[in-house]
Amino acid sequence: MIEVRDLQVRYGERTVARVPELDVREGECVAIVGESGSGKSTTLLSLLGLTEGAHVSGHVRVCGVDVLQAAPRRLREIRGARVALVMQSPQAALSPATRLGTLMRRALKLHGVGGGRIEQVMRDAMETVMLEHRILRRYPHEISGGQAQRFAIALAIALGAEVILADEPTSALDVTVQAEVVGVLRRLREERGLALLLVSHDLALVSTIADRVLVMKDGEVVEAGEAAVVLAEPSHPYTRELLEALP
Amino acid sequence: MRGALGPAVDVPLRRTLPRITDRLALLGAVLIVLITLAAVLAPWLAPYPADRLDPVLGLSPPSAEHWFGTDSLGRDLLTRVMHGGRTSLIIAVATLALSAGVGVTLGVVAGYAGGWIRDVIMRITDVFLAFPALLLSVALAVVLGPSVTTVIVAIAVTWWPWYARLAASTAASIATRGYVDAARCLGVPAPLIILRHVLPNALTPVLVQISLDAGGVILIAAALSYLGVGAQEPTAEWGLMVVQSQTLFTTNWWAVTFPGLAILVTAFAFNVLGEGLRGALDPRSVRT
Repeated sequence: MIEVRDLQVRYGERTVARVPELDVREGECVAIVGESGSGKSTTLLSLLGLTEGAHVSGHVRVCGVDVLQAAPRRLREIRGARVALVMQSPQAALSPATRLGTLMRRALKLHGVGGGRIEQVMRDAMETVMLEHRILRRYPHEISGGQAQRFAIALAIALGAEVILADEPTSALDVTVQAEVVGVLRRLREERGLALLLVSHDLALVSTIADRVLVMKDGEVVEAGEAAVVLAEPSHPYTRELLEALP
Repeated sequence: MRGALGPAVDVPLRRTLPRITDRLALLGAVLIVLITLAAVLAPWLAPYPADRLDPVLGLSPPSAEHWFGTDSLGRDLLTRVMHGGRTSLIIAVATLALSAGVGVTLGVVAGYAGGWIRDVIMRITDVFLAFPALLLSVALAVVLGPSVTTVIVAIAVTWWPWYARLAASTAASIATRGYVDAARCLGVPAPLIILRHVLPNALTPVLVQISLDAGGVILIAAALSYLGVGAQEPTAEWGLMVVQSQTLFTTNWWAVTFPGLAILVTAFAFNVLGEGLRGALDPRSVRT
């Protein structure tokens, strides 16, 4: 679903992310870990062609589309419909003046879901993430952070996304809500074969959900491998530092 | 347009209105409703026909028959003030709709797009702002010829750049918000992002500014009439009524006082309502 080779993202002379190799297959969860400013989110955005003002080189193929070569229209077609982004601040990602139902309905229409099917698709997506249908009548400020994050996932499901890019999806949530969101993501992966690329600095979260992990520091991948191996026997001092920092 | 608004953006108006607890602002809102009703219903509510002349009664002081007295042609001043409100409010609404329509459209495009598009639009607004507003309005009104339409166009030409500036700064701030990024991630094209996400969230401060500006527009329209380039007889317009009666102030005070008071009260009402809206929008007082 995701195939990255020799990705390099530069702003002027400064290289902010360099990823030699990254693959995410169907039903797989790969995590990119590292502290703030390590290039994790930039890597994620480059997969959607959304690194404005940056010079991006290498080979990035997402859902069969060559992201660095594709026309803007082609990129817009896969954004949302095939690759969805779940952001760190769930409520900030929702327009404050728009009801959730309106937002989802518009996104579905934009990606060609027919009028008659829309209500059923919305109902199914909301059920999948265990959100009550009536929440669709609310404005973003009227729902909790956990509900907003699950709504973002419901939106991805409704649009039929095959890949979910999750940028610190639980860091703005409290512990119990974190568990709910992680549970939904894990279930979607297992039941629907969704590919999940997770960006996080939370190694505890990563250990519960990721199959493989990439550790980034100052824009470079310093360690990569099976999550169980990397987290149990880290070979790079920075990974050890991250693990030692766990409470 | 006087001062620019603070950084209050993307606070939906439906969350703002219930917060106008300022009594003065509520008084302003009530006054605006009453003035608008009086103006709209003038043909039915006014005690006399708008243009009924009765020279015998010329310059009669306020009485039970003529609450506001009469003007030099014997026309009932209360009737003229009510009808004048129609003209003044039409001028205010049309001018603000025209200038905000043009200004906000250009402003949100400039603010969202940034780069050379923003530079071009903002330099054009700078050119318009380089001229003193009243002077430019008067010059335009002289060229176009005196009429209500002229007043609307002449004021709107000098007014839109302020809305463009306000909308551009608000839109530039909104363009960096998470929900705009989220819309891009959903594949929403730029024009739809502007229409559905930037514009609705940039509108509240603009609406507040419009309410603050309404009084100012009425005053400028009155000034243009005063200078002889605005509304013309027999149109009832508050500014024109003041001009025609100004020499009578010491001898027949009512002829100039009542239309003057109408301008004053209306400008005051719009201003306090605008200030109330601005207070309700202060991000420091918005509950999260």
